[in-house]
Amino acid sequence: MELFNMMCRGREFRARLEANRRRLYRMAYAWCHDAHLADDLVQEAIVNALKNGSQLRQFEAMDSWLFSILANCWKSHLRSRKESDEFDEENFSTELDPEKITSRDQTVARVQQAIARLPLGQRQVVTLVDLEGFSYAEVAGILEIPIGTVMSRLCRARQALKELLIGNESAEGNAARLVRVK
Amino acid sequence: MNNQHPFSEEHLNAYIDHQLDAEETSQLMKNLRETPVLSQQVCELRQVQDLVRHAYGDPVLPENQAAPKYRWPRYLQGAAVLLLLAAGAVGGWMAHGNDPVVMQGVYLSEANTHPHNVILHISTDDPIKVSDALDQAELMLARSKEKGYPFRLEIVANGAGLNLLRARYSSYPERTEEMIQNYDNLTVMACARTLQAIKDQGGDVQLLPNINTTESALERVVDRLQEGWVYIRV
Repeated sequence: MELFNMMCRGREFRARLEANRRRLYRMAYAWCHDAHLADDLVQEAIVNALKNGSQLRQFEAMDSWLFSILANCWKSHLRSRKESDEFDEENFSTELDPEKITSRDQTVARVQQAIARLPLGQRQVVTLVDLEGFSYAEVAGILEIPIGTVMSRLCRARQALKELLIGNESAEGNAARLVRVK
Repeated sequence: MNNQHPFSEEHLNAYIDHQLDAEETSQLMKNLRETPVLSQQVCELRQVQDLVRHAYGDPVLPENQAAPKYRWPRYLQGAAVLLLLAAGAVGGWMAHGNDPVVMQGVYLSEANTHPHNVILHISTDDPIKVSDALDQAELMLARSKEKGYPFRLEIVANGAGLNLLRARYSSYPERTEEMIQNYDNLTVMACARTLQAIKDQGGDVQLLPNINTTESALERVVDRLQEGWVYIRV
């Protein structure tokens, strides 16, 4: 254990932390849609990871461990801002800057807005699964919720996104979409 | 071909996320071929998944966004030609066993009154670079103490580097505090302009104990350069 703690303090640990910064930032941004806040959350998560490196039992589990730290940072941020009493069901909608939308890829902006309109719990689950490819069990561990909740949130999130993003194409687009599958 | 199938939405989501076991996957794939509406549902779920991935595909880290845009003061622009790369001179300070880290220092050739004092400018919060910088700073301080010659070191942080000195975000809070307590000839300063920029954006500006502030990190560097200090940027 002592040897492992030394390794955690070592350069390899820090290098791997740094290598994960971009992924953590992407996730934090997908949750809050605020570049500076996302950057602060990632920095806080990395600081906490450095402080608590000895708690990491297996190096292979480092990715999900880091994302669980990030989720806790985000949770404590929301609590400190008193933005969420009912954490799961709150509709934490973040409007994107219209000026940015005009200058960015329209699809990207539209999808990000749709994600921002999801309740926070659903937003976290769908981004952890789709952006990082975590298994349902890993997401359950990261967010500290039952796996059944992961599945139901994911289901509702994708249903909402489908309605927001491709729902109005359904009348005429079925055949075309089937062709596009491959 | 028909439009009826026994699979729930959760089941279809688990299928596209590869969360079903082999038997369940095989059963669903068989139904996919026979049930157009099932194919359509799966197709739409995959389309949603692709859209989410596309929307966050290439994140751009906002490095140094908190920092205000600096320009070197006009008087330094003229002096810039006098800056000499002094890697060799500073190399004496920096030699550190087998450590591969190389830092370069500069000093003004006309000012040579305090050739051994160093101002260390940290503008990154990369934990590895910051750790290396603290290693080097500690080495310089320890050597000067051991040899007993006069030496002063100033660490000044701005931009993303200011995170080192922020109570909530510092990668090395205890180490920074210990260094300040252990060495009287060390001064650690935060750039007030960066602090103001962070404050304006609603950020937390609480600093670690015993951190001084300077109105502008870069102006501080310029002042020290003119006094003959060696300038090292991390």
